[in-house]
Amino acid sequence: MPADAVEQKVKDFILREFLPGEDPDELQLDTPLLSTGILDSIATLKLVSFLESEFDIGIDPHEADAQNLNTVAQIVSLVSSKI
Amino acid sequence: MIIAAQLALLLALVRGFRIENPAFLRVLALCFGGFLLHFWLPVSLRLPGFVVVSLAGIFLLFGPADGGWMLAFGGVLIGVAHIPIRFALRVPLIAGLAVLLALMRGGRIDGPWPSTIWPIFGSMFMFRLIGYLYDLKNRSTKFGPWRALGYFFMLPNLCFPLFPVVDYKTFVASHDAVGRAETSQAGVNAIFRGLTQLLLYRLVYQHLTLDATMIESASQAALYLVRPYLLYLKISGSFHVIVGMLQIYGFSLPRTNYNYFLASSFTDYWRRINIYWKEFIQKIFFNPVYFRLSRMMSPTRALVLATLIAFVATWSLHSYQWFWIRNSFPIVWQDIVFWSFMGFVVLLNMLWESKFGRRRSLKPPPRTWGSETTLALRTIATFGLICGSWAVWSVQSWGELQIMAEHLIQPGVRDLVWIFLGMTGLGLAAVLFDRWDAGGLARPKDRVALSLGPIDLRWTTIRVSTATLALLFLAYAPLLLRFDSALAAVVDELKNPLRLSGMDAQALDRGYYEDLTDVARFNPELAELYSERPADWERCWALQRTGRFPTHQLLPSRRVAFKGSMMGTNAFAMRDREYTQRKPANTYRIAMHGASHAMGTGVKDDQSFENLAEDRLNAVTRSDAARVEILNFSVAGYGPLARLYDLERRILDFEPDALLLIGINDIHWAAKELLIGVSGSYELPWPELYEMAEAWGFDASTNATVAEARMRPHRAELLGWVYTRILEICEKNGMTCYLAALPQPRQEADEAMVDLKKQLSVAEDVGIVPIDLLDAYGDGPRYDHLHLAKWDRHPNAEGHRLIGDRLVAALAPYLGRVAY
Repeated sequence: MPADAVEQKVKDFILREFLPGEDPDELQLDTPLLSTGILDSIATLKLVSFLESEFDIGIDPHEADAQNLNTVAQIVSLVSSKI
Repeated sequence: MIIAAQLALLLALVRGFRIENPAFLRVLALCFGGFLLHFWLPVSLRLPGFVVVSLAGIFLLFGPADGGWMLAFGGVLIGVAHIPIRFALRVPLIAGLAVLLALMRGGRIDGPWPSTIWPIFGSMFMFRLIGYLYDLKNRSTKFGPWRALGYFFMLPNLCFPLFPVVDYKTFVASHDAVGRAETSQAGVNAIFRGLTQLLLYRLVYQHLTLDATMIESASQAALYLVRPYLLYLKISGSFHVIVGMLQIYGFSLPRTNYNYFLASSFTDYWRRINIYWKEFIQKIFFNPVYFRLSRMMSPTRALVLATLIAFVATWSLHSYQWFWIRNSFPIVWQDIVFWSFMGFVVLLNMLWESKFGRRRSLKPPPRTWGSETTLALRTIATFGLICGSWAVWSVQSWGELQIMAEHLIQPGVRDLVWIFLGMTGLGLAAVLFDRWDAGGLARPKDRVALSLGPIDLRWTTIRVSTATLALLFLAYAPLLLRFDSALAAVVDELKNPLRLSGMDAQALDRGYYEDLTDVARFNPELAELYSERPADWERCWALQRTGRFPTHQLLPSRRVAFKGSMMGTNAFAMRDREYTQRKPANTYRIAMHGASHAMGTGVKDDQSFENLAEDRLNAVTRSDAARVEILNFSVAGYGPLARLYDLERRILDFEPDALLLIGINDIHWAAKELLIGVSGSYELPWPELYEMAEAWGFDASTNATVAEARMRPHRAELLGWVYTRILEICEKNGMTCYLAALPQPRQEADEAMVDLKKQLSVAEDVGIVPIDLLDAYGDGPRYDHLHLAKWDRHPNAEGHRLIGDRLVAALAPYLGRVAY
């Protein structure tokens, strides 16, 4: 799956689940998610669950951290490395 | 240069206020000195440079032998983690080594170094090794010798056993991750913040102390409720200093314990408080459990189970931590209640957010009067709830909570005003700090701000320097200028790390904490003293349990080591020379009775003030005058009731002409003896005392703390009863009765001194001759040199000499007719 498609699906999920009503243009590839509190521990678990089911990949517990999930770009990179 | 100048000011601040301990000052000086060189190193040498400074600190602080052992043991643990065998085999090998070290820590096997090194070594490896192994197993970051040495032996750990659980992956990733100047300035800022919190902690510890039994109003009860949470300033202050010291070496570690008093919800509280711990638990316990369980059951069930396991782990790891730091493994109901409550609240919060979500936004929300008021109210409510749970966590008994609740539900107008002002101040602070933070977070993509908080180099420099200079002025101005004496006294106490709070000083005097486990939980100052105390310090082989009241007695003709000195007893089980039971002719015999001080605890036989006074009195009397004998019936732990018991059954057999009672705090000890008797631990041979207790509102079924609170207003009345009975016996047998009030050799004026004066006035009121020894140690400002040891405030030989001199001077006028 191309990275653009992964990016779009990830963005759509984040906007729908955690940022309803927000301007989609405000969520950019490098917008911090974990360090700004947009993704807290519950939201992170929901996101991981979504990524696993949507892209049919497995994410290990140690991968669910700020180095892999803090921005949309990092999330796309993690997913792309597993597809 | 600007950062170096600020560091110099901070060093002066630590020295001026004697913050923490001498080891801290040395480590901080090394840290700052090392920084001056480290800052100019090329990027590739910065991590090795940090390691060199850290290892230098180990040898500087612990010396070459102990430092070498520490490095060797640590090196073995790190080495075993990297042995090229299957990971699954390395873990049991390390666990075996950990068990071996635990046996040494517990004293089952002799270790190669003194026990004082264990807290530091334990804190280096007890958690970090777990996280390190986890990352090693997953190969989730870079590894190497410099990184490992820097991670485990990091410099600030040398003087802080309670250390944030720095994550290895974060530690590696944070090095030189953002601008060096900004990171170092953030470090200076954090150190200043930490030092300020440590000073605030000292202020709270020294001045906001209150015994639950002394609570008399709702505002005092509120203070009692808030105090345990405020004492967390010590931990948060240390953590700020630790993180700051790492930041000045370029590790852009995240802020921790950030304005946690201003948390506006439980979620916010966990986000602000010890986030290093939260992330450690989440990484090692919560996430692995949840990920595994969520594949076997519904996400909600997995969430519940993972949360519960995370909180059980948190609770048990706190006790595990105390084992390495204090060599005790506390399992107490307060911990279970506290962590269960926290787990329950967090679980509810998570389930709620899981089901209903939480309002999030990419932009700061608009500010209105309504939103500010809501923020203030939420902050007050969160603060109150957390204070309540911390109060439960820190109490010694349910009775303390009962007393607190009884007063809180009956506030007076004055109480309501104070409580309202406190809550308003907290709400206002929450709004103001939120605005301040919003300014920093207005740039959400600023990597420096996100890692370290907003850093404006010029403004932060001015702020830290000005505030440090102001504090330095406060520290040194009383020495140079004429200050209001009350303010100067507060500053002077603030500069004294050895000053125990009134409550702790009394706890130490009374041997309140028999078990280190009790003291370690919430009394870091006392715990530090107790940890240095030899294990058999309190054991006296010349004392025998009786199974009745008084609970123990001295054995005759013994010679034993006790508290660092040899002590002997005579054939009549007195801590004294040999005497005949029948009084010799031409002798004025004084029966002296007191507790441990009068028994001469910790000094040699010929150094006790009783023997010194006897010799002095006989040396200065006329040759034809009666010889003076002082028979010492004192026994450690005997209060006024035990002395009355001895007078009724034993002392009169020795035909004394006078009775000299020595009381160090008879007001307290009489009440304590009655409370223990009424509780049923032993039977007191005076039935009327039980009737008095009943009239004062307590009996065997009353909670101990509640009974103590009800006893408190009647303590002088009880002592009057005891003294009257003693005086009646003395008068009936033609004896003069003296009561000497003897203080502890310590510098702080506290409740004990008030009690001593009260004790003298009660004695005088019933007709006993009062002897005031309150100035026995002179009026010098420091009495530290008169203590037996840091952890034991009984007078040493010099203290006994001073007491002996003062006692002779005080007794001489009364003995004039017989001795001079």
